[in-house]
Amino acid sequence: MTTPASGMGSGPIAKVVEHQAKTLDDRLGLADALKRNMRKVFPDHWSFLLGEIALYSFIIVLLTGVFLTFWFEPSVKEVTYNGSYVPLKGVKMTEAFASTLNISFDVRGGLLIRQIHHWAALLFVAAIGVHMCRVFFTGAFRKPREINWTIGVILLTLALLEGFAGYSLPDDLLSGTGLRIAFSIVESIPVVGTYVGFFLFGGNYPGPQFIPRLFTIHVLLLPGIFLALIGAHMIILVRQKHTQFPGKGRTEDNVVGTPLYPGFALKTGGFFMLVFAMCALLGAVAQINPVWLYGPYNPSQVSAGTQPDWYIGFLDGALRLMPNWEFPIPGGYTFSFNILFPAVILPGILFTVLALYPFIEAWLTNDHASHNLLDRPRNRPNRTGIGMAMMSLYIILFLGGGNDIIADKFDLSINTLTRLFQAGVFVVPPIVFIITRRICFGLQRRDYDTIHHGHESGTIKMLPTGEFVELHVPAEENERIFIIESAATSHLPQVDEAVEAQRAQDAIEAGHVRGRNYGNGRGRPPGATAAAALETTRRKILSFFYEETPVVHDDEHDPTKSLTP
Amino acid sequence: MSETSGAPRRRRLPATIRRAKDVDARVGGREVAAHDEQPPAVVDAHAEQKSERQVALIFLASAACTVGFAIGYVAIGLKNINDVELSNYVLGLTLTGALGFLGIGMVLWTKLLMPHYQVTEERHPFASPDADRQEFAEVFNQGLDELGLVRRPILRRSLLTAAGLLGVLPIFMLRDLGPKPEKTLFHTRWTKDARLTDIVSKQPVKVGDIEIGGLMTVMPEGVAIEDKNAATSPVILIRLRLGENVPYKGREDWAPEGYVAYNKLCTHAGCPIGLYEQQTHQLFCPCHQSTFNVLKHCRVVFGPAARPLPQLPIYIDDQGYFRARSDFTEPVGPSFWERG
Amino acid sequence: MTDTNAAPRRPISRRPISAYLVIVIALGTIGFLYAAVAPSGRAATSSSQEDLVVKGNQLFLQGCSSCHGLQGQGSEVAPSLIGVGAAAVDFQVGTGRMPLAERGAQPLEKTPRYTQADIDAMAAFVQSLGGGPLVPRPEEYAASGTTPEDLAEGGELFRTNCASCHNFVGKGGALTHGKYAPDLTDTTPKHVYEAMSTGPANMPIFGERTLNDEEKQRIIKYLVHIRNMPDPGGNSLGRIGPVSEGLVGWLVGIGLLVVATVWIGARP
Repeated sequence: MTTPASGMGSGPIAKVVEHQAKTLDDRLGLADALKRNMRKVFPDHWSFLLGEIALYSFIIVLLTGVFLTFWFEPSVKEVTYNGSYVPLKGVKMTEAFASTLNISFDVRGGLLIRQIHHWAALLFVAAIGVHMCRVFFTGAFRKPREINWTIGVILLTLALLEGFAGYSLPDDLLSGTGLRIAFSIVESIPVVGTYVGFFLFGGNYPGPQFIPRLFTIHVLLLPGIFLALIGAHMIILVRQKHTQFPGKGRTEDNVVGTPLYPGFALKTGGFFMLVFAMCALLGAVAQINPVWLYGPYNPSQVSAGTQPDWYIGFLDGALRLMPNWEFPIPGGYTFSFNILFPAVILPGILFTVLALYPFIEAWLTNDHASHNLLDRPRNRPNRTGIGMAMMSLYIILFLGGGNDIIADKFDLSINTLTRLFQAGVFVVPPIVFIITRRICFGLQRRDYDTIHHGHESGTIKMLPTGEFVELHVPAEENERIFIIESAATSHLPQVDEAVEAQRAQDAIEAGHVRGRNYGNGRGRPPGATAAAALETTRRKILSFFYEETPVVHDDEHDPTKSLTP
Repeated sequence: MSETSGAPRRRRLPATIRRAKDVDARVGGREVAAHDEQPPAVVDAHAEQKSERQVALIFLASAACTVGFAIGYVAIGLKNINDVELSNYVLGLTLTGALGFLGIGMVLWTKLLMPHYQVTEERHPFASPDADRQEFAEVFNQGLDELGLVRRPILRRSLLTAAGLLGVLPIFMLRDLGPKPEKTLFHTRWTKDARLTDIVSKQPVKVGDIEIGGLMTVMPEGVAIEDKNAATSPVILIRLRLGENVPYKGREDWAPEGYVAYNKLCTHAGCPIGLYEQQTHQLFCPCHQSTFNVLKHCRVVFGPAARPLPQLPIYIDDQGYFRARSDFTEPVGPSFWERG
Repeated sequence: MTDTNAAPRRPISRRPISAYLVIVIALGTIGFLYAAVAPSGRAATSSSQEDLVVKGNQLFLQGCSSCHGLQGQGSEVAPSLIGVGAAAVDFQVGTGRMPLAERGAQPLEKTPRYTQADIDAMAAFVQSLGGGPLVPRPEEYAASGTTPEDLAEGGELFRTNCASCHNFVGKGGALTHGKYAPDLTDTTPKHVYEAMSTGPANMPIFGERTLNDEEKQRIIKYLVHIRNMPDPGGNSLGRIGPVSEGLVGWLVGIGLLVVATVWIGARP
């Protein structure tokens, strides 16, 4: 394809391909673009495949979802069930629920596809999570990839919405309770909440319109946005090329790995099949969302252990752990902080900070350079610590969302558990931050050891003096390079004394460095105070979170200095 | 490709690497990273043949699973739940096999039969050369100038006004999505003198129908839970021991003979509260664990709910039936802005 | 048990002579049959009933009275048993909840300490103290001959009255301060029936007029049907909802796929 006909092979397959390729290229002129992209390089490290789990489970969700729409009736019209699931025969229910039963019990393979759809949806969000962790902890979000990180966070947010919409469609007792809570959350928004709720649901809960509207959102609106954003995510990825871990021959200016065609294409095609097989396996052997057991939705009924799907669990946990603070507003209004904070404000803040994190970190650390080589998490103890602390917060909220199940299964008091989690929200993240940093420093020391003394060989030798020593074997060259380069590239930009002095001077001139008196605060330009305050804040956060303490101070033993060839 | 494809079982590995280098050189900017080049290992034609057969077998296993799926689909009808279970296992596991074997085969193909080499691709800075930026800025500014956006403020402002208004239009069109809340949230379907009826059997409830320590979910007579605006109406009628109830001020006659009636919707997020602990006299919400003390007008003793459950004033008529004195005297369910 | 014979002798409204005749004949037949089946029944029942109460009283004095009082009047640490009925005894002792092993949030289910004969005796004694719900007869709680109507209504009643504590299929759930609604998977239909009519621990009492005999039986039929029903989608994952599903999704789904990425990414 790269050159005229003579470049092609001579077998019969090659002939056909050549002819087709020619036909297409005559009309579309694709050879140029293809030749450049079909050899796109993909790094071999396994962690680069995590995002592909998300991509592939999205495709699986799309495929199975189309199948389900052939039978699903998004309607709240009341019908009397007369399908083959005996215990609900003759029970009044909505068409949405009845058609879900129909898919499960009267369409061959319907239950399987429903279950694959649901499992793939759970894996989709989970895979986004692990992919994000990879990107976060290795610093792959840094310039020039901030935009793609932000798109990723938007995709995560939409995935939560999309998942919740799908979970709610069958109109079963469990999801109906979830929707009831969602309506209450909308109602809690000050001033416009009730209007928004009534408009969305077509009236007071449960509302006659909501299932069909949710269906449109679930199968048309959100998937459309998904396709566009995933497309953008991919295009930017191809344009910017992959990041890579440091190593021999790897620099900021290149990327080393397997080319897309043919090696990586076959590999990743196989991986798609494996992800699909995983979903099919779960769909075959693990029952998910058995709506026939939950029964049709009825606003007067509820089941013990009412939970959302896992990815909404942290929000439900936040709702459970929140103290009951509700404030009257003069003039006959109510401010339901007990719902608004955990369900609207908290996720709003979390996702905004998450989406803007690359910019925040760059601002704080003053690191505005492009980075194509990844950090090893241990070499950025503070970022790693912050990430782990946030994960611990997330996990506590998540566990809070399952406090009733935990209490029941482990014979604990739900009240005590709730109190513990409430305390945990404040206590655990700082502890995790400190411990993570310590572990990172420890690992750095081990790296130092590996460089200077090599690995323990397990062979004990007795010296003539009678002393026992363990023999060490020197680390292999590739490992040494990896360790040294990682440590070297992960240092924050050198503090430029001149720039820092200028910044300090600016702040001083604004008269806002605490503890010193610079007298003349008058006549300064507007905005200087704010700028100075911002600068002071930046420095404070920086010194608290980001000042990386080198483990080995001694220059002689600094691996980056003494061992760089 | 021509150089290798015609040859019989050959030392494919080094040849391909060499070719890859050529191709990359032609494409430009890529070359085989020297350090990753595998030593031209002695290629064992026999071993390669074995791997080839192995992968082919795996592909055939996948095909067999697909055939199995088809057979399972045709053979297993869905007459009862056992059929559904069998069908799900058979279809699911054959599908797993069909996909899984295909995937494993493809990955093994790359692992066992393809050359392993890494290529290095050069990166180029994303920033466009200054000349390009300059040129862009010129074109852009020239365009602005031709448009006269800066020079013609009236045009600019009127355009922005028109476009802005047009942007607001869709929001107007969403108005008919639903009715205004009006006073809907302030009322339930309870009316004066409505009898309390069992939500399932629809029978009116009489004194003595509930044991001490028992409860019942009730609706106003003639109103089904599916009816319009009825979802907020379910009430739990609980029978306490005489004298146990500590009435809220002004509600002394709302609990005849120890029977108390409270709205079933949690004041936190609106879940139905059905968990009644008859010894501790607590109602407990399974969604977020808000706990209400039934003896003391259902005030909150634990959890995120902020307000007591609204109490339905009830009385016993001449024939011993429970009736509502009126609707709830406050909005039921979760809080909202206009609630007051 | 004791007053089943009293049931036919209800006040009868004015009817034509033929109706009286039918009833007289019917009563005669029943009496004859009864005499034929149980020739010495009356005397035997009566005396064995008294024996039972005496035996129950002895067992009660040995095993229960230290907490519940010599006359079952209750004490500071244990409730009065007057009026709780034989059903309560049969449930509490029959499921091993009583006698209490240790004080906790609520009595725990254990292997019963007494034989069914002893339990019957104690039940008879407690029944003699002040009446209350009787131990149900097998035909009242039998879960056989289930029809779709039974399941439809039973399910509706179960979801309205039971699911909020015991979960949608009776897998149990948490209550406040370490108390819990037990898992009903292995609970016998008789004990389910007794629990509904007596309201053990914090469970509300569903008396005869809250849930009548037929409704109770339908709930039992639904529960038994559902717990014996296969899970068509594969392993049930405990039938506790999305928590276990999320766990499986992460540990099995993501776990195995990460293993797959490592396998694919590994250098051969």
